Amino acid sequence: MAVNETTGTAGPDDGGSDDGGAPELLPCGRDAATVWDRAEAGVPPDEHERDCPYCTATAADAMRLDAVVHRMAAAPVEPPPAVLERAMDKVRGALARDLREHELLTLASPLGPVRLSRAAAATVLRDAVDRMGDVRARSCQVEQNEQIDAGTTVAMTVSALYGVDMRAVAARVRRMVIAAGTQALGLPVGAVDVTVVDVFGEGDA
Amino acid sequence: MPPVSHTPADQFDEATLVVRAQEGDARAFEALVVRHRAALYRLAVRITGDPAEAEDALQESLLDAWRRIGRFRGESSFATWMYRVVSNRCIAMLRQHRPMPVERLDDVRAAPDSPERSAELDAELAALGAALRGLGDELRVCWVLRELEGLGYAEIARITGAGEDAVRGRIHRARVRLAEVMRPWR
Amino acid sequence: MTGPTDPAVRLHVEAPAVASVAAHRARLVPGVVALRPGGVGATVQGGAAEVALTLVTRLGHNCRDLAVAVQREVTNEIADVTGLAAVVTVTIADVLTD
Repeated sequence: MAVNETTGTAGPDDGGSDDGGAPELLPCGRDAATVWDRAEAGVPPDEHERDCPYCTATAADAMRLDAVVHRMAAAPVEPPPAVLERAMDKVRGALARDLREHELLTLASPLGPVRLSRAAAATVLRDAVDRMGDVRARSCQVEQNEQIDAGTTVAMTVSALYGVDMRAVAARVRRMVIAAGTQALGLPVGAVDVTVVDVFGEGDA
Repeated sequence: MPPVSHTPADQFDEATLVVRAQEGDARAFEALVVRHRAALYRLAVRITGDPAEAEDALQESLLDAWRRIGRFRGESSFATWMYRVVSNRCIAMLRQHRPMPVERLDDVRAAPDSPERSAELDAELAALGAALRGLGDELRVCWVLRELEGLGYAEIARITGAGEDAVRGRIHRARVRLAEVMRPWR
Repeated sequence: MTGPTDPAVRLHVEAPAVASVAAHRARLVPGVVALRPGGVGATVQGGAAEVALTLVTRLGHNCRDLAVAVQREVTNEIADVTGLAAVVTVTIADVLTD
């Protein structure tokens, strides 16, 4: 909850009203934003507000702006159809550009260096586990030993369908990861650590 | 691998998608942002007042989010975090591009197809848009989040990184200034 | 892997030509969905070339086997067309799962 990071653009604290971090109080002592919110929400004025010129003026401003603000809020703003696709193209471009050495695994080849994106390998292994139906892969960390032949270590966290035997699930996940490593990636997997971190299917989607 | 049907990425829970995106899975990231696409674009239009600028800001925001998602710790919802990324990016872009085009906010809305009253309403809306653009960025962002997006003060504080009291103060100052500018209309 | 057959002609093949040949041949290997933009590089020194390819494949093709096939086909093609002996580095940047 407490995320406090000032934007660093607040003006000098001259004790005036320009963003000293304090709420705005009306001369009568009431919090201006609250008085406004109440008026906007159609809450009838309380005893103080009925007689207080400051509260009355604030409520009048609120009522005056209410209609046009509501029309602005209700005006539909539809994103152009391809806005997300264009943005995702940039993301994928960044993904390819940002591939660094430590994000690559090495695959064995007699003909020269072959590398595989660690993220892509994780995606393939997660996909294999997702296909089991009663398990969903979450984190998948693939760590390669110095000696390629020693096999890769995969640490995976999963959520499991509510009610299934978690020990059996872990054993099946392990087999699935080893099989996918060999068949889909060409990456021998030496060890698989499975952690069940959540369950699903108990009322949720 | 047997072609067993499994959960498509866009139906996974948020926690799963966030972890996957943090580990470099672009599809999981896309599945996360697609849920909020309309709201994020709308926020960008409302802060910048300009559809073209909003689209640029949204694209840059998604890149920002992709690069920073490793630092998302889940103290807030992903949506709140994205709102923060988008509003920061919009403000940064506005600072680069000032002065802004002044008449563009009306482009977002359908043209009026009826007589004077509608024209007058439209003009009033345009006047509010212009007044909004006249506010400082911090005031405008807080006001937009409160009055157009309908968020609570605590959430606006999380999005803007300002204290809740400062947020209340900004919103009130924005309201008072807008009320002053709009006085001739009623 | 012989040099120019006519001794009167001295063939020089520059890196961009080698890169083009490599990209063209790599795209024909079954399982290669795309080459990353900017994901083809080549250097030529003497009678040898070094080629780096960054590609995307899809599920259903074993990544290592695919990479070895790309290395083999591209190496052979470069030898046939340019006479250069090439070492091909393959980076698989993405595997499409849908």
